[in-house]
Amino acid sequence: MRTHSLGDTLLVNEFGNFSGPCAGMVRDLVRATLKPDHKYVEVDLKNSRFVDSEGLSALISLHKTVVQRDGAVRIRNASPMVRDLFQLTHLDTLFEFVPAA
Amino acid sequence: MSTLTSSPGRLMRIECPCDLAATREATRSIHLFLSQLGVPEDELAAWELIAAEAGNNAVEYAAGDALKQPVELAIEVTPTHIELRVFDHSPGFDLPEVIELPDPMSEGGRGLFLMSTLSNSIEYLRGRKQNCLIIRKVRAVPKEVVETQSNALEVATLESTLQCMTEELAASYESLSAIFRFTSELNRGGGGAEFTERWLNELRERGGADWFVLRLTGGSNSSISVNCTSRPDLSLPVLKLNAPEGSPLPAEAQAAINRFDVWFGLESPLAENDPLCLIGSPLSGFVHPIFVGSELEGVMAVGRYTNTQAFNAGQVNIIHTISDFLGIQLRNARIQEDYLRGRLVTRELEIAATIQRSLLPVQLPEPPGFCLAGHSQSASKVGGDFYDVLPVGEHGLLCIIADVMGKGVPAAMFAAIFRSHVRSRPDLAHRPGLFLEWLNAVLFQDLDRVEMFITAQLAFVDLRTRRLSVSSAGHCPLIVGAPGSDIREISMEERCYYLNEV
Repeated sequence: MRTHSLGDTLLVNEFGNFSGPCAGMVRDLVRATLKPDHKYVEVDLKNSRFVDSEGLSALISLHKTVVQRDGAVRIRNASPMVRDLFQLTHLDTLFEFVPAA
Repeated sequence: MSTLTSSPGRLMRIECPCDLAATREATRSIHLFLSQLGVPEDELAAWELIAAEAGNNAVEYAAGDALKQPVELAIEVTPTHIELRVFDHSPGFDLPEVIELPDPMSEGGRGLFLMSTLSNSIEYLRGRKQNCLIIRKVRAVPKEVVETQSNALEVATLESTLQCMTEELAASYESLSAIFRFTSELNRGGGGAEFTERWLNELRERGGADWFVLRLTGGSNSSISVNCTSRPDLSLPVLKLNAPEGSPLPAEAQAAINRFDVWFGLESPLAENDPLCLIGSPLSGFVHPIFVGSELEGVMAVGRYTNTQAFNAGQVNIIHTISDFLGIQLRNARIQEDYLRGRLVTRELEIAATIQRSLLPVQLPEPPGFCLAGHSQSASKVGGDFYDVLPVGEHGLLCIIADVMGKGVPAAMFAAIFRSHVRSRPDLAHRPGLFLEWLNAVLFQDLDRVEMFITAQLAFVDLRTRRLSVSSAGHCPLIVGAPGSDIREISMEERCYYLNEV
């Protein structure tokens, strides 16, 4: 699990399935690393074949943090199955989905 | 994951500690198991998410001791459907009838939504120490099967589905129909010991129990007594609900006092002095307190002759339902009994009043130179007091006043007997003292047997001499009055009094 700062964006990647206790750990790491000039959080789901409601909760929690700075949570490399989950829970409009870099 | 058992076919059971990492590991095992059975990718994805959410749920609601209890996941695959059962030991939660998607900004509440959306049915059975979440999803028929299999295979698949559905429906119907029949019998006013025993045997059968003991308060606040049991061969004592401090309370008393189910078995054995130990050993089961409104009606103990097999949530529900319904019926029967007893007392008093009225003279004698009057007013509805005036020969009158101790029919009956005896011996009328001695001799034995007594006063009037001879057996003194003199009591020393001309 790693974070990278890129201008006003904090990237987090290299973690496994975004579910259960792992989702909470990612959220806690991002919160601890977030600097005042970070408006955007980019979560790379490249290695996440699977996301559950714990993962969704973690993303919403991060969204609440950055939306106060007029920022947003961006999701990169979401698989079709994960995209379906966001649609099913009507959260696909809350987050920005960005294609693979 | 502490244990993993897998049958070579279609069923896998996993027991794991109650934490998110362990349930996530169990979810991966379920994914692998389904994958090995050839479940298609889209179904696999849905079931992995369902299992993960069910596991999250079991952990989320656990607290305290429940966190030390394992979570069990069991998944069954049939040609027509897949079913996941997750057993937890948490206090549980209320499954809403309609599971809605929470607000987008809400951080929780999506687990149930996902499980219900991705499946065909979701149930949550709550027990005292175990709950079971059941999620079922009908399987999609693969395209290639549709294309390649004959109509006969399709029919066979449908028949298999129908068979499974029929079996499940039959099991549910059996339980429900028992409850409906119970309700119907309740509405028809069924009751009594036979009714209770029949329904408790039904409860034992439907609830999968080996034995039962029903204790009732019978309106008492301090004890519960056996009303009905499948073990009538045992002499189960009355249980006090205020046992002395220090001694362990029997499970039935605990349930009655603390107002919640008390479970016993291998992990929580019965105390040595517990009357349920008389049933046998080993034992497992629970005691359910039966309340009607806020009042305790009794307790129902059910169990098995083993210390390991707990009742499942469905069986617990059946036992609770039938016990609680039976409690209502027994309470109604008791209210009805009290009402009838009240009616009986009223009726008895009416009869007694009729007897008493019939003892009083309708018309008093009117001897020349005398004027007689009488009035009786009972202190309560009915008493055993009466008066009478009997002509004795041509020149005598016997005045009688008596009071039988007590009220109601017994007092009225003794008054009638006393009156008959008095009327049977006019020859003794002119000697009231002797008459009372004779009356005492003939009535004493009967009165003594029922611990009753009669006070009486006899006054004989010689109409020619106007001489009044009086004798009293514990009755109030006679009061006399005459023009120009004070009203006074006649003392027993006087015994005789001369009446002035009126």
